[in-house]
Amino acid sequence: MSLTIKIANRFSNSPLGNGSAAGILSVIGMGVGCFALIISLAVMNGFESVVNLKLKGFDGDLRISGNIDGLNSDKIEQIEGVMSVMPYMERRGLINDKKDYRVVSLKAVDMNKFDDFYFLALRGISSENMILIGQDLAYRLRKDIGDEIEISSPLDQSFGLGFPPKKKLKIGGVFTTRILDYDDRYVFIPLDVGQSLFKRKSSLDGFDLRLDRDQNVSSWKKNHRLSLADEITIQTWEDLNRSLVDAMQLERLGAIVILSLIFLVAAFNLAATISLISILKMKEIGILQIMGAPSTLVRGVLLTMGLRKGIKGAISGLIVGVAIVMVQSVTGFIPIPEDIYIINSLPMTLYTSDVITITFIAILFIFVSSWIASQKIVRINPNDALQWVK
Amino acid sequence: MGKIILQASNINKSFTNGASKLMVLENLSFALEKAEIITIMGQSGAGKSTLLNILGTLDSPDTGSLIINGHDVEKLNENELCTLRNRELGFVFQFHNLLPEFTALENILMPNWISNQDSKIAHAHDLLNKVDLMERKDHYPNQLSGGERSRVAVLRAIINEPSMILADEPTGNLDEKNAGKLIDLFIEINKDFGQSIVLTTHNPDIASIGDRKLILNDGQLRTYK
Repeated sequence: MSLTIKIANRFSNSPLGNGSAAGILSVIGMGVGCFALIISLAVMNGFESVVNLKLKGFDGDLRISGNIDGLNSDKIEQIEGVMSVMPYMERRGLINDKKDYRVVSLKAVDMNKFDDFYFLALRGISSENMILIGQDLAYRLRKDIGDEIEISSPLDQSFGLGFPPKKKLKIGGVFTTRILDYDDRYVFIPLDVGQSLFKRKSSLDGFDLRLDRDQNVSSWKKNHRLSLADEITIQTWEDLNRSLVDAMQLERLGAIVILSLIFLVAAFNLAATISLISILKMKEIGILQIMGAPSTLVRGVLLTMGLRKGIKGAISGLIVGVAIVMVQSVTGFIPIPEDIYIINSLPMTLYTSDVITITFIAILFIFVSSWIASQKIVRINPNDALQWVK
Repeated sequence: MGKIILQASNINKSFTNGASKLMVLENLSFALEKAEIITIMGQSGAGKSTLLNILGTLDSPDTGSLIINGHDVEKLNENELCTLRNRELGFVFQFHNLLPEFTALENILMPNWISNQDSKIAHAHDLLNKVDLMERKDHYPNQLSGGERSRVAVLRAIINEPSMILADEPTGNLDEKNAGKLIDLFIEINKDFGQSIVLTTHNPDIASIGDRKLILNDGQLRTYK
């Protein structure tokens, strides 16, 4: 055991003024900081996972678009790692009831593959000659499964006739995503209906792809980018929802920064404790200096004492936080209203990188505060240190 | 004439309090030879502790030079001063100044641990035997008597075999019997290990052990007869 640790151990365990009361507060402060960060990040991760799953459930893992001449579903399905392919056409269009018109995104897809490809909460069935609308849109139009609805595509209006192509279809199902305004904006229509409605489109817009579970989406995109024609665009679900993904990451960063302020407050407390210990141990430090202890040894002792107290708190907070996350993941003992969040318990997900980040932040704050607190005592003249108690 | 261990030349030291300036040491010069014992007497406030602090590099003079075993103290940086204190100097105080968190043996070994040199535990055991404290080696300072603490403090001062020991009224807090034991220990150390000793005291009997007996008066050292 090094002399620094040996002295720090003895000073810490000494009943003769070790600043234990203030030390406990420092430990608690660091613990609360770590706990708060762990829980907050776990909840953010949890909700992010839910949102990501929903985005992937709605868009697929990847989208291939651009100049896709020569590509078809069968050909794409042959590519390694591809599990299923959904051809699509998309157009802004109108959906109208007798009195009400709403602008929507009409997404024409292969209804035979719908249930296999999309992971959506769907009430009703997907079938040819029927459309699927979002829950909010159904509510606004006061329509439900079985009702007939008219869709039109004004962008495909022929100049000579003056009316946009229209089609009346029955509502086959109502889906719920709870992502942004998707439930109000998107309408799924059969691919052949889309082809007849979107008269100005000569071909498909592209293909949505779902990859095998073991495939990494970004790696797949990178690896297959070169094997496809230059005019073809490959976008991951993250690319398609870039602003939302960026917003979530920014929110996460903000949470880390804001909650790190708890560490800052705890670090002030720790610095005060180390300063107190320094004063209580002034005589002993003076004795050590008189025996020839260099400033590195004295600083090392104080840093060790500070790190020990801080890390004790940080580890306690980490353990309690991680335990709660694990128990919540298994039992879901913290409920949330299902009608608002779709899920019935607070989602919590913790990544190793988060634990490492939090540990790093905690140690950084502990180290800096202990260092600052030790500065003054390290510079004190040994004789003054002895005079202090005289 | 033996080897010069310490050479203090033209040492001046004053303390300022507002407009008033108190001159404590004035053009003070003296040399300490190897294995020599110098005792310094003087009234309270004469500057004995200030002088010892300067000789021990715990305080710096206003002017003057101090050379310890060939090292010009003024030219040493902080780390070199620490090494000098650790290797060349041993301190004994009126109040033992032992570390309360460490046992008697650990207190004795502390300078050795700080120096990061080979362990001197065997030497520490020998010293403890010499002063009949072997059985008390694992006792903490608060479990030792005043006399025992003082002896432990002396052993701590000599564990690294320094060139000289600076003792600031080491018997000031002891009864006559324990004071006598401690002075005998200083004489024995001086005889056995050849270490130079500078000792301050109020007691003329104790001062009589010095090869040279000095008195500090008006900032000057004079021979005491």
